Amino acid sequence: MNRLLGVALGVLTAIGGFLDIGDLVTNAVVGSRFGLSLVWVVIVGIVGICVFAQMSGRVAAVSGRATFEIIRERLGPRAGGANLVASFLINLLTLTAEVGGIALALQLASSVEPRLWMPLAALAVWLVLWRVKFKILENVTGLVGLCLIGFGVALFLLGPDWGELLSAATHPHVPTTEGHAVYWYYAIALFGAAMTPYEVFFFSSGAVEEKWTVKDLGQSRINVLVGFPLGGLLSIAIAACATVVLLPRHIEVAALSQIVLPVAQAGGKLLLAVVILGIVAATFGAALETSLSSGYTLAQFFGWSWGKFRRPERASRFHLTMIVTLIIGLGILMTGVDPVAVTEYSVVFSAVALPLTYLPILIVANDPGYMGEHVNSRSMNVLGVVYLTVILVAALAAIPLMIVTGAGR
Amino acid sequence: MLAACAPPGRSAHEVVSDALGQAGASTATVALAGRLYDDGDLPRETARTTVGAALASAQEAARDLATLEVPGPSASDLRDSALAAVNDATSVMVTARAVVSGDADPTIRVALEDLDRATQRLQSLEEGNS
Repeated sequence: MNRLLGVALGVLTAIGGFLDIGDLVTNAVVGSRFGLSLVWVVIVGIVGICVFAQMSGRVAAVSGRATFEIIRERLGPRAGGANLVASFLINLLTLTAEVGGIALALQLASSVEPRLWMPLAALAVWLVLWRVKFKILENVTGLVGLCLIGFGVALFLLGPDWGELLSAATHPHVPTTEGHAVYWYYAIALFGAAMTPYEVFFFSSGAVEEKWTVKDLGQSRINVLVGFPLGGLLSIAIAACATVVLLPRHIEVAALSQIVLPVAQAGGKLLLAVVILGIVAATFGAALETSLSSGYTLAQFFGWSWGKFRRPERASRFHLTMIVTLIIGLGILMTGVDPVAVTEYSVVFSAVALPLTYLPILIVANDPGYMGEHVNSRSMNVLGVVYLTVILVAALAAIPLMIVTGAGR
Repeated sequence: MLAACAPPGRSAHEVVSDALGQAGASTATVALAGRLYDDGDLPRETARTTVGAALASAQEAARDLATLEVPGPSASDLRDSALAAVNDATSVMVTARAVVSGDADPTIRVALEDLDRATQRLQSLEEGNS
C-alpha cells in the first residue's frame, strides 16, 4: 500500500512539476497565434523529455553519478568546461524567467508592481532552499502545481467544437497571417520549452539526492512515462484555451495576464484563483529547481561537496552558488527587463544548448563500464538517435530563425 | 511606398502593420477583461493588471509608429492615420483603466463600446494595410 502511495505521489508530483513559466507562456503564445497547428511539437517534445529523463535517471541510479560529473569525465575539463558555461548561462536565464514569473503571478492576485514582488520571491526561494528538505520542496510544489489542471477544466467549461480542435491538431498548417519562418521558430521554442535542460539536471541530481538504486528504476520509469505525458496534456490545454478565446479576437499573448483570461471566462473568480495558485506553485517550483541546478552543475563539475541531503555548512560552495545565481537573476529582473521576453529567449536558447547535455548522457547510457547490464536497449537507442538528430536540427536552426523572424515577430 | 528607415530586416510597411496588430490586440484584451470584470468573473486586481499590461503594449506600438521615418507624403499619411488610431485607442484604454480602478465616472458599458469601436478601427486599418 505504501509503495502504491509512493508511486501515485511520484506521478502526481511529476504532473504538477512538469510545467514552468516557459511552458505557460510559449503554449499560450502559440495557441493565440497558430491555434493547435503546433500541438505535434508538444507531443514530440514530451516523448523527447521522457527519453532524456529516463536515460539520465537510469544513469544516475545505476552509476550513482549525476549529469555534470559524467560530462566532465567523458568530455574532459576543456570541452566539459565549455559545456558547463553554456548550460550554466541558460540555466541562469531560465531561473531569471521563473523568478519573474512568480512576481507576475503574484501581481495578478494583487495588482502590485512585479518589481516589488521580485526581491520577496527570490528571498522566499532562498529560504526554502536553505531550510526545507529536498523531498518536501519537490512534493509540495509539484502537488500545488496540480492546480494548473484548472486550464483543462476551463477548456471543458468553454465548450469548444472538439471536432474542429482535433482537426486543427491533426492537420498542421501555417496560418495565412503567419510566415513559415515564424511557424518554425515557434516550433523550436515549444520544443525547447518541453525539453528544458534544467529538468534533466534536477531529475538526475535528484536521483542521487534521494539515493536511488537499481531497485528504484521501476518507479522512476513510471514517474517519467506517466507523469510527464499527463503534464504535457496541461500544456496542450493551455494552448487550446488560448485558441478558443484569444485567437478569434486577434489577441496575441504578450503578457501573463492574458493567459488567464480564458480561465476567468470559463470558470469565474474561483477557477481563476485556483489557476493563479497553480502558476505561483509551478514557477516557484521551477525557480527552486533551476537554483538547485545551478548549484548542481557547478559543484558536480568542480568536484565540490553538493546536495540538499548535506547540511549547508557541509556543502557551502554549492549553497553559495545558488545564492549568487539568485542574486544575479534578481539583478537582471530589477533592470526592468520584461520577464515574458526573458522567458521567450530562455526556451529558444534551451533548445540551442540541449545537445551539449543530451549527447554525453546518450553515450554513457550505452557504456557498460558505467551501466553494466542496464545499458540502453536497441529500441531505446533507435529512439535516442532519432532524438539526437531532432535536437541537433533544432539547435542549429534556432538562432538563424531568431534572427530572420526578429524573435518571432 | 513605405520603404526605408525601418528597423533592420523589417520594411516600414511591416512596422505599421505590426504596430496596428499589437495595438488592436491590446484594445481587444482590455475589452475582454472589461467584460469579464463587468460580469463579476474577473477580480479588480487581475483586471487592473491586465489593462496595465495592455496599455504598455499599446504605448510600445505608438512609439514604433512615432519613430518610423517614411519617404513620401502618401506613406506619411498612412503612418499618421495609424498613429492617430493607436493614440485614440490608448486614450480609450486609459479611461477603461480608470473605470476598473474605480476612479472614473463613466460606466464600464460606455468604455466597452468605445473599446469595441477602437478595436474595429485598428483591425480595419491593419487589413487595409496588409
